[in-house]
Amino acid sequence: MQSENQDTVPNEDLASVFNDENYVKSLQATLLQFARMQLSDHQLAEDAVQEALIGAMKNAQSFHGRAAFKTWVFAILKNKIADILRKRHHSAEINNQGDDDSTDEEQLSRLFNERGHWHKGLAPNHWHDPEHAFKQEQFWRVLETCLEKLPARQAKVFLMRETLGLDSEEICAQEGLSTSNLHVLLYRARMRLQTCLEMRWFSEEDRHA
Amino acid sequence: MLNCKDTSRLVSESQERHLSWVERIQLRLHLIICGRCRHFSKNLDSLRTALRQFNSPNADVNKDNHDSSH
Repeated sequence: MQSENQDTVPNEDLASVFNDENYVKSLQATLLQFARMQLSDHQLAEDAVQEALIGAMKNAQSFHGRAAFKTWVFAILKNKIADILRKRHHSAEINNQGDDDSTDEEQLSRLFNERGHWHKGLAPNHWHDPEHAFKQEQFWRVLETCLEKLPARQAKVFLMRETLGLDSEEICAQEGLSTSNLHVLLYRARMRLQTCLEMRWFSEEDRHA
Repeated sequence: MLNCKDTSRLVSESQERHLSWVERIQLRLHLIICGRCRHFSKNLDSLRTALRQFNSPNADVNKDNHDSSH
């Protein structure tokens, strides 16, 4: 997986990566493409992307890989877009990301039967040799996909917790959440990720062995 | 007695804070009898490890062949 380019320099300082014009341009283009799909107003999309990049830069020093950093920028962008859409429509939260409390609750509840036990086909299984998975590039692409599928809010706080390493208090302060709100979001993110990784990787272990 | 749904929530909580001794006992009792929740608990540990390793150059792709769609 080694390449001659800068992507695999150990302990790369992500903050200095912003001196790499091509990298920034390419990242910006990807973000813009995403933003434009969600927002019809091009100027609004450009502004949102700029803000997301600036916001992400604040924590650049906590990131040691471009994939992780990109996932973070996208999480910030998705939240910005959700805020814009919410303001635009004035009313109840836009539900297309499943951030809506009752939808999420509902989806997760389907994993359990009426007595609160795992449904037979949906119960977690043994993950064979995760360490072996971590050595495979394709696994990281799958993880990236699973992270990208998280509702915006869940993605952001989950990354703040697991990648930026912020503690509950700091996240709650920055995001304006109560501790119990935060823990619910993290729980839901973990449930989704567990399911996603299992479906897309560990249940196909014969393929990846 | 905890059910699996409560247990899954408690397992997630245990990654956030110290559980009370009552919670710990309840959790332990359920995990003894429930293999699925045992898997879940182990898998969440693996998930946490994965996220840590994700944030490293080892999880990056070559610039040339990566184009993501969202």
